[in-house]
Amino acid sequence: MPRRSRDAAINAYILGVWVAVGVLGVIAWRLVGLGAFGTVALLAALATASSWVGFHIERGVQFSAGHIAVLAAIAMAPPLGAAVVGLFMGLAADRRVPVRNRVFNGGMWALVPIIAALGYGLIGGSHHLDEIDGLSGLIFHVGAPLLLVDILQTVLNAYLLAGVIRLSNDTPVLTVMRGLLLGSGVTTMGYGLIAFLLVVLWQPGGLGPSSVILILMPLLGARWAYRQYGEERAARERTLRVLVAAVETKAPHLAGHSDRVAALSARMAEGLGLGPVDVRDIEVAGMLHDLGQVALPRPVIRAGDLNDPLFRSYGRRGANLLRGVSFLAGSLDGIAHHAEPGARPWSTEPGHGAGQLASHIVHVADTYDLLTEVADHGAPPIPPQEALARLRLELPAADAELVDVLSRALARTPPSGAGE
Amino acid sequence: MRGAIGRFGPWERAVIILGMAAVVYAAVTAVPHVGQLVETQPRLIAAYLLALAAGELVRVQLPSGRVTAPVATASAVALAFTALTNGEAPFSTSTSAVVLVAVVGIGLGLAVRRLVGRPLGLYLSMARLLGASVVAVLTRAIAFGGESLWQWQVDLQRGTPLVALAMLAIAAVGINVELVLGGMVRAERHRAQWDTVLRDDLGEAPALNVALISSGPLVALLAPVLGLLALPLALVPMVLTYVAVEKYVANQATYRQMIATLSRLTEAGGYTSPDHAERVAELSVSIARNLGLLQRDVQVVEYAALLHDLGQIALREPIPGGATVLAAPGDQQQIAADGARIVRRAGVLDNVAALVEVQATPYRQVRELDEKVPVESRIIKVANAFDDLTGGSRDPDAEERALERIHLGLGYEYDPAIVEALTDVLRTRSRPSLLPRDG
Repeated sequence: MPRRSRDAAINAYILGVWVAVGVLGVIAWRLVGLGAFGTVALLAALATASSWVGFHIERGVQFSAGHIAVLAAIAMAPPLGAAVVGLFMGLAADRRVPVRNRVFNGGMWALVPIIAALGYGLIGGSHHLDEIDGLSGLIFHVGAPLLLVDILQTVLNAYLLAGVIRLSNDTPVLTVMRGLLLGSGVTTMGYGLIAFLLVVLWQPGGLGPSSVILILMPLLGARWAYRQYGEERAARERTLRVLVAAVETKAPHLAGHSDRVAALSARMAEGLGLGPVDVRDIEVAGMLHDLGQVALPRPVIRAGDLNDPLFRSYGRRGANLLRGVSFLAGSLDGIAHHAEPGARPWSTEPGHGAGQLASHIVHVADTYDLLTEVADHGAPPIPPQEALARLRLELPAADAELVDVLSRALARTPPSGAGE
Repeated sequence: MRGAIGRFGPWERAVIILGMAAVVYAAVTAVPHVGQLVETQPRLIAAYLLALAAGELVRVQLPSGRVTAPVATASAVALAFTALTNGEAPFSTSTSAVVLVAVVGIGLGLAVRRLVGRPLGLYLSMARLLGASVVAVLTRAIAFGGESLWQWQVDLQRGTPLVALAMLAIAAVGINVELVLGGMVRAERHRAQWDTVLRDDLGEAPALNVALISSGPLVALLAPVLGLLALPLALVPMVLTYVAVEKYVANQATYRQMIATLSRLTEAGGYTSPDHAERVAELSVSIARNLGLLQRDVQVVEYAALLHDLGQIALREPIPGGATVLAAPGDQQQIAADGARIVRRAGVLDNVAALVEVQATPYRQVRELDEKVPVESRIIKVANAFDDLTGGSRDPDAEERALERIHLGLGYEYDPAIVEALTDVLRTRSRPSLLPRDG
C-alpha cells in the first residue's frame, strides 16, 4: 500500500475509535449517568502520574499504575468516569511520542474502560461497596468481576493496537496480539488484585483517597528493583564490548570485524525466522567468535593458518573462556565450532540445535567479511558479488542455502560499518 | 547456654540473649492464657503461625549481602497490629501473648530450617522477634492521647487515615529495630565497621524498606473487611517486589561472572599467573572493607582489581610471571593506560577504568605532587604488589617476606594507611574461618 493511503487508513481507524467513544459514551451517560467526581479526579491524577510510578519488567512488559487507577474507577465510578481516567492515562505518554499516537492512545484508553465498565455492571459488579455485607459478597460482586474486566481490557487493548499496527506495516493482527499478550499474564493479574485491594481499602476499609498512598508504597520497591535489574542487564551487555576491544588490541587487523560479523549473523538468523532468544545468541556468537585469539601468540594470529593446530584451537579456546558465564551459554557452541562447522547437521526448527546452526551462520558471515572487508593475510578485499560466488562454490551443499540467506540479509543491511 | 553461644561475637550474643529474654518473658506471662487464646481464635493463630513459619523459610539476600525474610517480618508486624478481623473474634489478648504467637511461628520456621539442613541464622530471627515485640508494645501497651492504637482500632471499627499513619510510624520503628540489630551483628561477623554496614543497609534501597514497612499495616487495615484472606492478599505486592529483588541479585552474579571472565583473558594469553586477578580482587575487597568503604565503592574496587592487568594484552611479549611489580615504572603505566582504554570500550565501566588507569602511580606523587589518586587505586596497587611478591602463596613466611618488601617502599611507593589495613586483614584472615553462614 502506498504511504499516503496507509496514512489515510490509520487516520480513519483513529477517527473510528473516537466515534465509538462518543457513541458508547452517550449510551453509558443515558444508562448510568455521571457521578463520583472527586474520586474520578483523584484517580485521573494518579493515571497521569503513572509514567513515574510505572516501570519495565522485562523487554516489552511494562507495569503501570494507570491500569490500577482505571480498574479502581470501574468499581467506584460510572463508566464515563472510568473513561476519563483512561483518557488521562492514554494522553500522559512521554513527550517524545508523536501527537497522532497520543490521540490514538487517548481514544483507545477512553473506549476500553467504557466497554469494560459496562461489562462490569453486566456480570454483577457492584458500585456500592459500602453496602456489601460479608466477604463472599466482596469477592463475587467486586473481586471476581474486576479480574474478569481486567482480562477483557488487556485483550481489547491488544486487539485495538494490533489493528493499527496491521494498517501501518501489514503484520497480521493475531501475530501482534500474541506478542502483546504473551507475558502480560502476571501484570494483568497484578493489576486486578491490587485494584481490588485499593477499592476495598478505600471504601469499606474506611481509608478513602489515602489508600492510594498505602497501596503504592510496596510498588515503589518493585519499581526500584526492576530499574536496577534493567540497568545492570544493559551494563552486562555493554561489557561484551570489552571482550571485542581485547580481541582488537591483540589483532588490530580485525578492527570492526567482530561487529560486522555480529550484525550479519543476527540478520541471517532473523532471515531464517528464528525467535529473539536464538537471534541474540547467534549475534553474540558472531561478536565473540574470535575471542580465543587473545590466548594465542601474536605471530600465530598474524599467520592465521587454519592448518596450524594451535591457530585452529582458537574457537574452542574462546568458548572455554566464556564457559563460566551463564548468560552466554547459548552462544558457546557457535563460537567453538564456527571455524569448521563441517557436516554438523542444523535445522531452523525451534529447539533443534540453534547452537549448531549458529556455527554455520557465523562461519558464513565470518568468511564473507574476511573476504570483503579484511585484507586477509596480504590478499586484498574482493567485491561482495565475487565473495558470494566464491562462498557458493567452496561451501558444502547444505550451507549453500545460507549463502542465499546472507545475500538477502545484505540486501537489507548497509554494506559496511553495520553494528554500532 | 554459654557453650552454645560462646562462639558468637558480643553483638550476636547480645541480640540472641535479648531475644531469649523476650521468649522467656512471653512464655512465663502468657502461657496461662494459651488455652483460652487457642479456643477463641484457632483459625487466626493457625494462619499467622503458618505465615511466620513459611516466612522464615523464604529468606532473600539483598545486594548489600543483608539477609531479610520479608514475609516473616511483615506477618509479625501485622500480627502485632491485629485487632478486628472479619469473621473472627476481636484479637484482644495481652502483648506478651502476641509475642508468644510470634515466637512459636518463628520457632516452627527455624525447626523446619534445621530439619532440611538450611543455616539457622538465629540472630536474624531474634532481631525480627525483637522488632515485632517493639511493635506489639507500641500498639497495645502504650497509650497515645489516652488510648492505645489497638483500642482506637476497636473503637473506630475500621481504618482511618490517622490510624494508618500511626501504624506506618510504628512499623517503621519496629523494622528499623530489626535492621539495626541485624546490621550490628553483620558488621561484627564480617569485621566491617558498623557505621558503614548500617549506612549500606539503610541507604541501599529505601524503596525496599518502604515496601516492607507498608505491608504489615496493609494486612491489618484490610483484615476488618477481608478477614484472614487479607494476610495472603495484602502481602502479594510486597512479595512481587522481593521477587524482583531476587532477579536483580541473580543478575548481579552473572555480571560478576562476566567481569571475572574478562580477568581471565590475560591468564589465557599466558600474561598473568592463574587466579592472580581473583586473589588481588579478594584482597582488595578485604582491605576496602577494613577501611570502611561503602558497599557500592567496594564493588567498584572488586571490578577494577579483577581488570587491573587487562592492559597486558597489548604487550608484545608477556612479562615473566605477569608480575607487574617487577616491571619498569614506564611499562607499568603503559599497562594501566592500555587496560583503562580497553575497559572504557564498555561505556558503562568508566568508573572502573579510571581506577585501573592510575593504579600504578607511586604514592609519593600523591604526597609530593598532590596528584589525585583515589584510595581505591591505592588499594589495588598494594594488593597487587603483595600477590606478585608472594606468588599467591598463603605460606606465612612468604607473606612475611612480601610485607617486608612492601614496607621498604612505604610512603614512597605505597600508601602507609593501606599497608596498615593490609597487615590488619592478613592478621585476621590467617585464622581458620569461624564465620557461620548468614541465613
